[in-house]
Amino acid sequence: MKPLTHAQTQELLQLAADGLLQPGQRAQLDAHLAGCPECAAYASELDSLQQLITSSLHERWGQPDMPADAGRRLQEQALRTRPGAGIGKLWLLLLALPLAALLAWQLLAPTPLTPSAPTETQPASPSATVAPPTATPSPIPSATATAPFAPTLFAVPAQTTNCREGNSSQFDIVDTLYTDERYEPLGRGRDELWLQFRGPVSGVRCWAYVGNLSVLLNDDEVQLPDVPESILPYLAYPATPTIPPTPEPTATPVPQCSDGLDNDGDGYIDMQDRECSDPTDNNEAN
Amino acid sequence: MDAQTLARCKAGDPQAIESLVLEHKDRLFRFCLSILDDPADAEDATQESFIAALKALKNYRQESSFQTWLFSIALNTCRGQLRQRTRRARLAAASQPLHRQQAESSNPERAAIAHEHSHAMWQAISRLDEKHRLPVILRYYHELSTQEIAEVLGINLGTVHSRLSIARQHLGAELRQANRPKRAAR
Repeated sequence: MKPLTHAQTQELLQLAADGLLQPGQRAQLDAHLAGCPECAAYASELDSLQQLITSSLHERWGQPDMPADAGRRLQEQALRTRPGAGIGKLWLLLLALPLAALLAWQLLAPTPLTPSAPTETQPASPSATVAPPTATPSPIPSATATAPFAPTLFAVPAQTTNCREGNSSQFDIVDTLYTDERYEPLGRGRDELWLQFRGPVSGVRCWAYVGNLSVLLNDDEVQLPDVPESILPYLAYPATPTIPPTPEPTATPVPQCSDGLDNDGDGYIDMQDRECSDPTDNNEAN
Repeated sequence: MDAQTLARCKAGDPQAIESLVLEHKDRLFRFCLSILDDPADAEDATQESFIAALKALKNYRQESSFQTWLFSIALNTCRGQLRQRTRRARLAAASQPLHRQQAESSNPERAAIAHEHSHAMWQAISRLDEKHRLPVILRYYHELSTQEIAEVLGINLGTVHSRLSIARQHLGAELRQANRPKRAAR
């Protein structure tokens, strides 16, 4: 097995600190540490640093329990809360949206629409043009009719996030979404991994990875797959850009005796230098 | 938290909800305290986060532990509180660290050398930016694994490791820097 370098050993020590060391790496690391005082000192320093971080944070906050009165208040409020009430709101929203849309359509479009399908084959029935999907006319709740509420959907980046032309790092960055700002997504990919936005600076449509974003529906955090498609549509990703092959370096070096330079610093260039036998000679010095 | 208790909570069983609160309230309070560094704010954030979690309980798919899921909700609540705090009192917040420092330096115990190092380390941690400070707090105060940190912060495992490594290098360098002039003076 190839011996570890100091840099590799120190990276393994960092991995070990995070509990990410592979089983085989432990033996390799121990073997190197046994014979390397420099890395052993690094390991010891890292150990002390971690102990100091831990003790410092514990000294700062201790291990306090929630104060008893606050705990009681929490218990009481928790018992008054109906688990899953957030989802209940979502279902209400799902019901309210189509009803509100239907009502708005009826109010704003009083003239019957002409069917786009061939009219000759269908009996002319004016009532059929705006018929609801079911024959039973259900009364629309007046609250929904008077105050249809529009859902608000925002994404909040937990860190500064690149907004790219498409759904991978192969696409160019066209804008940036900043930490803790609210951005309104325009759509999402079928894999629920990328959201499309209008770039806040460039104004162009761009995609950001959802791993860095919190999705808030009416100010409640939700998982992206739980957001109904009626609120956030699925959009197609742009085609992955083809990366042009890196041009091969032109490996035709110009001989020193024809490169226009004083390579040996004697004040004579190329064939002026007596050491050059001909323009293909690659040594100006002798 | 076992699946059966969670199922009972989802069904609204008061006993199950009570045991859920009892089991998690103190850890959640400590989590909020470690983000907000203020016990009163932490109480509010704990309450708000727990109620938000109960309301969203049907969204919890048990892909991560309940505690991790709860922490990720609380992190969002705490971030909201921090934003409000910044907006409300920029000037007051600016004078607070000075006030706190004065109060601490008047405590004779703080003068002890062990305290001094620990205090210097806290100062260095509090100066880290959020993306490096949070993994440090989650790892060394809450003793979460890197996988759990990744789930709470919604980032991948490699990013957690890289942020922790950078934070440790930074903290080590700051500490060496802080110790240098004192040694020369002695």
